[in-house]
Amino acid sequence: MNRALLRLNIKNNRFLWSIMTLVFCFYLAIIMVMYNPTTTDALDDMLEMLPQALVRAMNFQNVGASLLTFIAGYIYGFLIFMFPMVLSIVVNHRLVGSLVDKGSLAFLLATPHSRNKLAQSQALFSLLSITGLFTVSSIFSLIYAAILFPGQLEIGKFILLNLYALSMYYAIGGIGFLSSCLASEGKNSLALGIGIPMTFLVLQMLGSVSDQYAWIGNLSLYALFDPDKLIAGDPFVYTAMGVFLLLAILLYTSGIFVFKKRNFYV
Amino acid sequence: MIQISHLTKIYPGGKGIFDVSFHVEEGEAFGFLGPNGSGKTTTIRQLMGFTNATEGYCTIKKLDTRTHAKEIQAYLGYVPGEISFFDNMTGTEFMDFISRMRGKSNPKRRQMLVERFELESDRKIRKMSKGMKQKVGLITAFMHDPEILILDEPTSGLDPLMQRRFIELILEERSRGKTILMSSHQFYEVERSCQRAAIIKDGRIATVADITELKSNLRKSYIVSVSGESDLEQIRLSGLPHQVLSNGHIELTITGDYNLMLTTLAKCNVQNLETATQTLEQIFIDYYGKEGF
Repeated sequence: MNRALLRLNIKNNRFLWSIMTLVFCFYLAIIMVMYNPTTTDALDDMLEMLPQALVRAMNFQNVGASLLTFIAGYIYGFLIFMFPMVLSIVVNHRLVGSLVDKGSLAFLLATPHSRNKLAQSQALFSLLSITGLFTVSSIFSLIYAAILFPGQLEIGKFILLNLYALSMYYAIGGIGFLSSCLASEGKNSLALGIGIPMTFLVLQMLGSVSDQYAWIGNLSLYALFDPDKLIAGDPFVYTAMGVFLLLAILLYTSGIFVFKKRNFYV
Repeated sequence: MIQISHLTKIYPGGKGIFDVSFHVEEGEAFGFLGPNGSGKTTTIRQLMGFTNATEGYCTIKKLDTRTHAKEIQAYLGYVPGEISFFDNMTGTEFMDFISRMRGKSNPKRRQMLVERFELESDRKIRKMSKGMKQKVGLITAFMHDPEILILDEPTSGLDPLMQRRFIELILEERSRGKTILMSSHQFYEVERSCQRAAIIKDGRIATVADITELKSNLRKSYIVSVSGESDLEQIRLSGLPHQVLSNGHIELTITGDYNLMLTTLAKCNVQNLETATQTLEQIFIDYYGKEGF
C-alpha cells in the first residue's frame, strides 16, 4: 500500500468516517440502554403503535429476551443497513469514481506507480475503512455492555455477529468499488454504487412484509445475513460468510482489473 | 526521445485522432499546435498512458507509454490540460503530496519556482483563481527537475507577465538539455519557445516543420486607417494586396515587401496603423492557402 495515498485517503474521509462510526455507536448505546431484562420491553410497547407491516419490513419482529438477541434484533436487522452503508458507498465513490469525474486522477497516474498498485491501495483503503468502523463499534459495545450489564452479553457470539456483518460489508464494498472503477462519470459510479445496495435493501424489506412475498427477500444479497440463525448456532452462517468473502474477492479483483485495463479520459 | 507512430484513437461517435505520427528528439522543444478540439489532449493522454490506442503506439525512451507508464513517469513532468486537484488542500500540501507520491523532492528548486511564479502556496486550492491553479500545476510538473516535460496548454489562465516567465523557464530548460512537448493554440507562444512544431487539425497532422519554416510562410497583415478616397486610391495604385474592411479600415497583407508598404503609406495621411493578431486559423490559411482548410 502506498503511504502517501493512504494519508490522502485518511485526510479525505476522516470526517465522514468519524461521523458514521460515532452515530452507529450512539445507536448501539441507545438500544442497550433500552434493554431491560426483567420488566416488559419499552421498545415493544412503542413498536405496537406502528403498523405491523412496517415493523416486519424493518426486521424488528422476534426480538428475543437476551441482550445479544435484543441488539441483534434492533441494530443488526435494519440499522446495520444505514450508517455503515453510507460510509461504504461514499468512500468507494471517492476512491476512484470521483477522481475520474473531477480529473484529479491525472495527477495520480502521472506518478511513478503502476495502475495495479494504485488500484490495490485504493481497494485496501476501502476494506480498512469499513473494518475500522466495525472494530470501533464492536469494542465500544463490549465495553458499554460490560459496564451496563456485566456478564450478560455473549461475547463470542457478539464478535461473530460483527464478523458476519463485516464480511457482508466486504461484499457490499466490492460492489461500490467495482462501480467506482467502471464509471466514466461520477454519476454512473454513484448510480451503481447506491442503486445496487439499495435495490437489495428494498427487496429484503418487501420480502419481510408477508410470508407470501418471502421469495422476493431471497433475491436480495442480504438474505444471506441472518442474525437469528447465528444466535441459533446454525452453520449456515459460516457458509454465508464464505459466500460474502468470495464475492468480495471477486468484486475487488474485478475492480482492480478494470482500473488496470480501462481508458481514463482525465 | 518521444515517438508517436501511426496513432489512432477513435471515440464512440467517430471523433478522435487518426494516424498521428511525429517524434521529438532528445533536448528538443517541440510545439504541438491546433485549435480547440483538434486532438491535442487525446494525443497527450496516450503519451501519458491514460488511454488504450485504437491503432498505433507511442514510446518514450523506447518504452511503450501504455504498458510502461510506471517506468516512464519517473522521468516525466506533466501538466494536464484541465487541471483539477484534490479537495481541501493548500498549494503547499498538494506539492508535498505529489513529492511523496514520487518519492523524491527538491525543496530548493520548488522554492525557486514558487518565487518565480509568485505563487501564494498556502492558500486553499479550492479558493484559487484559474491562473493560480495553473501555477500550482506548472510548479508541480517542474519541481522534481524531470528529463522530459509534457505540457498540455501550459499557459492557459496565466496573465501576460506570467506567460513571459513561463516561456523564459522553457528556454532555460531547453538550454539545460530537457526534452519538451508543449501543446498550444497560440502560435506566438510556440514560436518563442520551440524549435519544431506539429500542427494538428480535426484529428489529423497537417504538418510537422521547423518554426523558422513555418514563420517564413507566414504573411503579416497590418490594419491601417487613412483619411480619404485619394489615400485609398494611392493604395489601390501601389498594387499592395489589400482588402477594405467593413469599418472602413484597410487590411494590408505583406509577405516580405515592407518597403513598398512603407513608401505607399508615406504618401497617405495615416491615422492609425496596427498589426493584426495572428490567430491559428490565419496561420492555417497562410500556410496552406485559402482553400487548404
